[in-house]
Amino acid sequence: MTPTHLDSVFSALSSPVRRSIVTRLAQGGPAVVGDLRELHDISLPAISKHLRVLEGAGLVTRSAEGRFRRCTLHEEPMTEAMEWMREQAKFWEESLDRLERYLSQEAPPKGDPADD
Amino acid sequence: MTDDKTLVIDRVFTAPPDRVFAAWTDTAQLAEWYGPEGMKAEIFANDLTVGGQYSLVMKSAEGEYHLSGEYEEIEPPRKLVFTWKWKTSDETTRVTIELRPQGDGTHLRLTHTGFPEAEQASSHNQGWSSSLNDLERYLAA
Repeated sequence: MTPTHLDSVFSALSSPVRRSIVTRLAQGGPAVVGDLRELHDISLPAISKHLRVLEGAGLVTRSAEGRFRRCTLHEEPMTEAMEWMREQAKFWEESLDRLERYLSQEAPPKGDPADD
Repeated sequence: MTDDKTLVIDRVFTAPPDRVFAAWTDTAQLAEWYGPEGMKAEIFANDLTVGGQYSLVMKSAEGEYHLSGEYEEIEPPRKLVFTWKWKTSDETTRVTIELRPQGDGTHLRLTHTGFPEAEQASSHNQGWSSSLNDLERYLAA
């Protein structure tokens, strides 16, 4: 996943409406646009706009099914975004562990020793 | 600024703020601890002035990762803000370190924010972390 793509995934997920669409598709499987509209009291053009953003990030695909358009969730981009977050957290958690050890070696604190 | 929160980590150290601040800013001390387990940091440049650049490489068995950025705020021993860019990435993120005395030690808050251009005002009440917690729950379901 390229950084630009990562941006578009995070960006797509930065809206509560879009997150609820993602949750709905994840829990209930593919849905037509009209079903998704029930999640929020918003217009059809508005829900379509949100779907386009999700589509642009590779999270949702829309396919024609008779008169309806069926929306399907693709989880891979999200899994990769989560992996990115974990990597950042891991970097800092482990760095701070090392800082803690470094500081306690360098000069033990006055009074009671570090005992945790 | 609490917008576009990426990652917030709180830690308490037994050392006082000036020593923690020095560990974050002094080149020799940084090299002692910076980077996750199994990685060794080699620091090429560390110009500790506002607008000054730093540049380093993290080495591990898997490879070398070049990181650079610019110092934006330097307020010893309370605050340090710098940008953060991996050589292989297009995005520049920002790290804020805030230190305050806690007993004889220091409370450190690290805030790593990314995607400052995130388009949606609606993101402002929702940290990335909490969004991802939601996602994690459903992916696990």
